[in-house]
Amino acid sequence: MSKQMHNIEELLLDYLDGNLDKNKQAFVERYLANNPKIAEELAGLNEIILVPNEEIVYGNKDSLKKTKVFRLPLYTKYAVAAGGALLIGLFLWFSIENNTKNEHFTSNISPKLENIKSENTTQLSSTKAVNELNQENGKTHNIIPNRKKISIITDNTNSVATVKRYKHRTAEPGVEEQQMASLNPVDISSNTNFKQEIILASLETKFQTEVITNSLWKTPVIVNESKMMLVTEPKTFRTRFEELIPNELAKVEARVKNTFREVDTENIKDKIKTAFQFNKLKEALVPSSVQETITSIQ
Amino acid sequence: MTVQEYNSSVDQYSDSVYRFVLKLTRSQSDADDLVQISFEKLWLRYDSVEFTKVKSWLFTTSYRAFIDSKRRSRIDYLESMPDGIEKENSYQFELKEILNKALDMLPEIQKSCILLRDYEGYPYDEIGQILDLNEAQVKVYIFRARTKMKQILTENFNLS
Repeated sequence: MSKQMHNIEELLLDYLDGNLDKNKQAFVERYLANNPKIAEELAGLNEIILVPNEEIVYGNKDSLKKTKVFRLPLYTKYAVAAGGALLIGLFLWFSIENNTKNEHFTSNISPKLENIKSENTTQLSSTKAVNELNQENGKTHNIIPNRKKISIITDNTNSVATVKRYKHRTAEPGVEEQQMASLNPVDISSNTNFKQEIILASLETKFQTEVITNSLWKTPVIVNESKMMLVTEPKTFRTRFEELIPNELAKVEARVKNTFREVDTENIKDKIKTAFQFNKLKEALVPSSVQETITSIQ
Repeated sequence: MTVQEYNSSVDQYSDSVYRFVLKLTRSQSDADDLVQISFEKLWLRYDSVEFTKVKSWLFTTSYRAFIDSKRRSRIDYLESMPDGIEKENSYQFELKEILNKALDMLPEIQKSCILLRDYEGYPYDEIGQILDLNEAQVKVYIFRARTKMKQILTENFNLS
């Protein structure tokens, strides 16, 4: 597009807005007189104004609001982070290195960082999880007996990192025990060293734990706990941690591979989607009476 | 800005920021995330942001977060079709809704410009600041957006 055309478009918009001085206005009017097609294009253009749908509101305002100001000084945060990263980093580095093929989507987590109670730690393995029958409100829960502490860390840069919420749940679906928490966001924007991990949060739980984090990350967050795997689903960017039992691992891997296939074919999919969208628009714009006529003619 | 003003900006601006990013992403969950990210960023530096400028700050930040998220991902936002198209009764569209559908067919930058202009009433120079464009570019994009939308509407009405 030439610069001249650019200028004309700019002028035409100002003309529609009534923002031109007399000279420029006269110029545009002459231009339009000489270019009737453009004059036709211009007619009614300033009536095309979008109106927001006020019924669409952000329903989660309360979660954004803050009541207390509690921030660690930066150096404290980084001191904590650096300490944690030093301990965890080596283990994670090796596990990520071993998994480079899928590194954008999964990371196997091998080490166990801490256990609050050290007895019977081997039972933490979900395959060996003791199904302890616990009568509560007449329902039976499967409970992993040990409390454990997990740390959520990120190696992402240039962002604000937050654990949006987490929930603990019993192994039995339908009797979920939920615990929502909003944690302080951690500013990691000055973390310029990509391989440096920063602890976002530590949770203590004796249930299976699902953690949902700042959703725009690709490979940022790793739960440090044995038998856990990070699964990032690129479609929604949800990051979730699953306590894996071996036969479920295959399913997760299959899902990741499928995801790769989807990415590879995205161009084709986009074309289909665009075509689909255009047809829907057309369908929406043609009045029903006309559609019926078309159908009857066909 | 005080904590109270921060909370008040949640009340006053989260809806419009949400509507803006919802139009860009066409996905409720992505829009939801972008709103959260924007306000989290604001919370981290609320004391250095003036309350009078917080609305533009939020639009700038949410737009950048949107661009950032697109860069990080190879998935195009076309992946997520707007829910409305399939569910709504096709024959009961009003002009307003038709315009919104036409909007979805615009290039992203034109869409952003026209949303800030029509939804939020921003002057061209401020739109430029938010989207990192100069004023002339904003005008050209808005002009083209309106022309394109008119063209879509005309073509489709001519069918009838």
